[in-house]
Amino acid sequence: MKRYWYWFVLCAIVLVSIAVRILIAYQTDNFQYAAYFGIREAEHISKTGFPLYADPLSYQGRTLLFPPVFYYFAALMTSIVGSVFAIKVVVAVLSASTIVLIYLIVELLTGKVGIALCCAGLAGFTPAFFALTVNSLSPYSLAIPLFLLALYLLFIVRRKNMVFYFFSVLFLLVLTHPIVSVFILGLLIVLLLLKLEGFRIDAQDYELLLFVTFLVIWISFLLYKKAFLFHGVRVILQNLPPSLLVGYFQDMTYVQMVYLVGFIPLFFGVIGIYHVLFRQKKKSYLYVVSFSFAFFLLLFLKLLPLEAGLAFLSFFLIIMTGCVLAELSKYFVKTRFSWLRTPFFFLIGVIFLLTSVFQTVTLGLVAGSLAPSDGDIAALEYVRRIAPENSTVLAPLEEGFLLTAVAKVKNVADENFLLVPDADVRYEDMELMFTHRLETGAVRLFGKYDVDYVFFSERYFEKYGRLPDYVGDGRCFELVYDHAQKVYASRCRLR
Amino acid sequence: MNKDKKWLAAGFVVFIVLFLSLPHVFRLSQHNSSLIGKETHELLWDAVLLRSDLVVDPLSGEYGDRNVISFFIAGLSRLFPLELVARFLPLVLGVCAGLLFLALLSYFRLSRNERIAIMCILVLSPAFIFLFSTVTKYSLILVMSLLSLYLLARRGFFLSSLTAGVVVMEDWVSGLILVVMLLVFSSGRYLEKGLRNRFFLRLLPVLFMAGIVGFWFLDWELVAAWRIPVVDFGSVFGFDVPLLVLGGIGVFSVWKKTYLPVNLGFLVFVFASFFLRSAIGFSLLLLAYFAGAFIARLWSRSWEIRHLKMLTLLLICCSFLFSSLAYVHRLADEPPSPDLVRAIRQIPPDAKMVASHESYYPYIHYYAMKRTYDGNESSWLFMSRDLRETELFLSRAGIDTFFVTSSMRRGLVWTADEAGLDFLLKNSRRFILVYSFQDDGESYEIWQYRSELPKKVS
Repeated sequence: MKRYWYWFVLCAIVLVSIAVRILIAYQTDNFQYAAYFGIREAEHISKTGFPLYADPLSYQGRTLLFPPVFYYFAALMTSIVGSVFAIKVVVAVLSASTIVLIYLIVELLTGKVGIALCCAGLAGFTPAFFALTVNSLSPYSLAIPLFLLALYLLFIVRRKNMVFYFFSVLFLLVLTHPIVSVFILGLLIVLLLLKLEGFRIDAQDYELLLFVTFLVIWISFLLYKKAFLFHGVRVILQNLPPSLLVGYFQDMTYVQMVYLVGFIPLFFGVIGIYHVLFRQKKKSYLYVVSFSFAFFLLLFLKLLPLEAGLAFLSFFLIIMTGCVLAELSKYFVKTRFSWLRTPFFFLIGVIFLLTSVFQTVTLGLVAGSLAPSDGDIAALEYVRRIAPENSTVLAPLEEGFLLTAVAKVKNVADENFLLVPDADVRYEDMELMFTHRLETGAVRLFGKYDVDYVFFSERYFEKYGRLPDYVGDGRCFELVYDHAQKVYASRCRLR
Repeated sequence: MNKDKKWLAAGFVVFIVLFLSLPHVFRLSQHNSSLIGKETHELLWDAVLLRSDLVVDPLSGEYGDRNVISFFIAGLSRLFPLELVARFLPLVLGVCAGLLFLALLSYFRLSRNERIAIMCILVLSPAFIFLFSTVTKYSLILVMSLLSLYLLARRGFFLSSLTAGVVVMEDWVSGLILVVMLLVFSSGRYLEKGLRNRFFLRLLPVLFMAGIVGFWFLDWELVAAWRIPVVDFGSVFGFDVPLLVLGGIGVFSVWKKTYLPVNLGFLVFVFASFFLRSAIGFSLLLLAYFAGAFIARLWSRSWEIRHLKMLTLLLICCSFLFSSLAYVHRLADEPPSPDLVRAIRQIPPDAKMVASHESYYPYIHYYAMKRTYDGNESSWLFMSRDLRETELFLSRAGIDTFFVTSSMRRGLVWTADEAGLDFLLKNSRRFILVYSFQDDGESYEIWQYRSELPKKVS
């Protein structure tokens, strides 16, 4: 097959992946709940040129800490495209760029274009990555492509000018997501494995590791100094209340791994790791194995959110799958069963279609449906019109970002707990405010947080089924919006 | 000493003085003239007692602690004002520590660049800044230990032992560490390579015995409450992340070339720092040595990626400077704040005994000169909501004043609003608010207990 045909197939894979993402994302006009944080930041950057670090609305006013590059990117795209909702397309394109990067890495490692295309196909439908990025505005949409690009540039760093590109990408990654610290861990494991396997370690490897380590340390301390001082080493757990920690940093089960990584990448990826460690010792493959180990270790220690960790792990396993397929391809040619090669790859393709693609689309649809309804948005727009300036509105935790972005009012809490004092107390109080049986208890808590309105969304009714008892008699809570969603105004304060 | 060495020493004296005065300068610029930290106030109070020839502390009714540094301060305070001594003594000790360490480095085969790098890292490290900006017994321990090592290097065995004795007097754990260091240092320097093994075989029973003794005397509560001595993660006395990273890389990069006990000692000391404050000063010396030597090697080696050399060194310098300056700023903000001192000074003169969180007691002793309650039942007292039982307890213990801060309400003592005694303070007429101060960050209240209800004025 001529080379341009390979490019044609690659483009087709990329386009199909983008199309599926866009189709899923546009099932609803709205974004996932967490995306509203990014939307608000992007809007603020578009207006002022700076991210909103001193947020007057979140937690009734607090300081935010985050690396800003992704939000600048989102703001830039919003300005170019003209609407924040067109970002869905941009995020889809950005996420699909991982397909090209996987193609480049596998081609570089194996030297086989066909195998690289197969892996690109696998990368196009990675369930965990789909669930993480579809219909959302997650910094992972940029961080994962940058991570893979940094890995690719690391392989070709000896080529002319590549050092410059490598550092530029790494610098961008540092300012995009704290996941860059795993890059250091990966490089450390590389050195360890190279030493164990008896490879000569180039001075260049040490130099890169040292530079990357100090770059990450310094920038992390510039960005997160306050958080490190405030939370100590527990900053890794993001100050999440204990009751939420269980759901955020989940235990990894084999079933989940198969479900979120996909059967083919997991099966061949694990075989690939075994092959590289015990059979074919190749330096470049050891890099990929080391990064897989780094992510696996963090997932095992529950220091990384499950979906994000598995999304990264999926890509490294896909690269290892490429290595195995390349070896198998060579092996078939050496045997009398060379005619079996095409049916074998066809069979893999069929299994992949039945497992990963199906799972990916299902997970994508589920992720896409985790968005507020139009009714919720309408209710919040109503709140924006009636609520006086500096009002505080109580809404369920996951709707905190939505509240500040759409209704432009203060929330009691949202999903970003970093630098929040007594986060667990506040979270428990918030849960109590939705479930309290006694009016006096609820009013006391409403007074404690100076809450003016309470918003009961469709999602609230899905979760709790009915309104809390204390709003029933209308003495202290006046119904001001009455549709499928309800908004009550708090009229009493305990003295 | 040749001219170059003199200039180097003079340069470091200026550097040390500059860095160690920064926390005080920052603190004064925030209109806070009080001394930094709890331990400073504890030791100053001991010095006050010593100066007054009091054997028993009139505030606690117990024998006062006797630290060598308190004797120093008490002695010097006869010549100079007490607070002036408390500011300048650590600085002088810091300069002595720096010069002694520089002098000790000349006994190692180190280049000029290596010595400069090691010294710079030592002076920039938060542990050094803490030790020699505040009054703490560990500063004197470190200086005495360095002096002991230096005297040993100069073959002044008697004086070296004498100085080590002072260290043992001040803190037996530090004394033990110093003895091990002296043995390692002397064996490395004077013994032939073949004799080293035999020497260390003899050292093993000594260490074993020390371990047994340590096991009996060790404060297990202290060990159980292990903490991370990293200032970037909130610790006040400890190391910064760049120092730990570079020190770690430094020791592993020369693992095979270095004398094995030194490597092992390094790991043991750094590990021990997680449990024992005494080990932090000694670990600092080793960390600074390995990190500095490693930086000097980075400087002198030829790099494969040429652009990277200057960039990496620049990043390392920035990391150290940033970390140090951030720490200096934090240290300057350490308690007591001017508001806290003002509030403590408002404790009524007729107050007999004050109850508060124990972290405020050194300040209450020093600024208000009042007795404080630190009996076993203080946690019961603060959690009690039973007025009758609380009154009985207060009469029995003689407590009549409470010093309450917003930090105590935010988790230091209570975790919820109006919990325990806080509820009684706010709702019982037996407790009268005599002073209240509130600003954006912190609030202070003084409550007095009256066993008789105030009469109503008709």
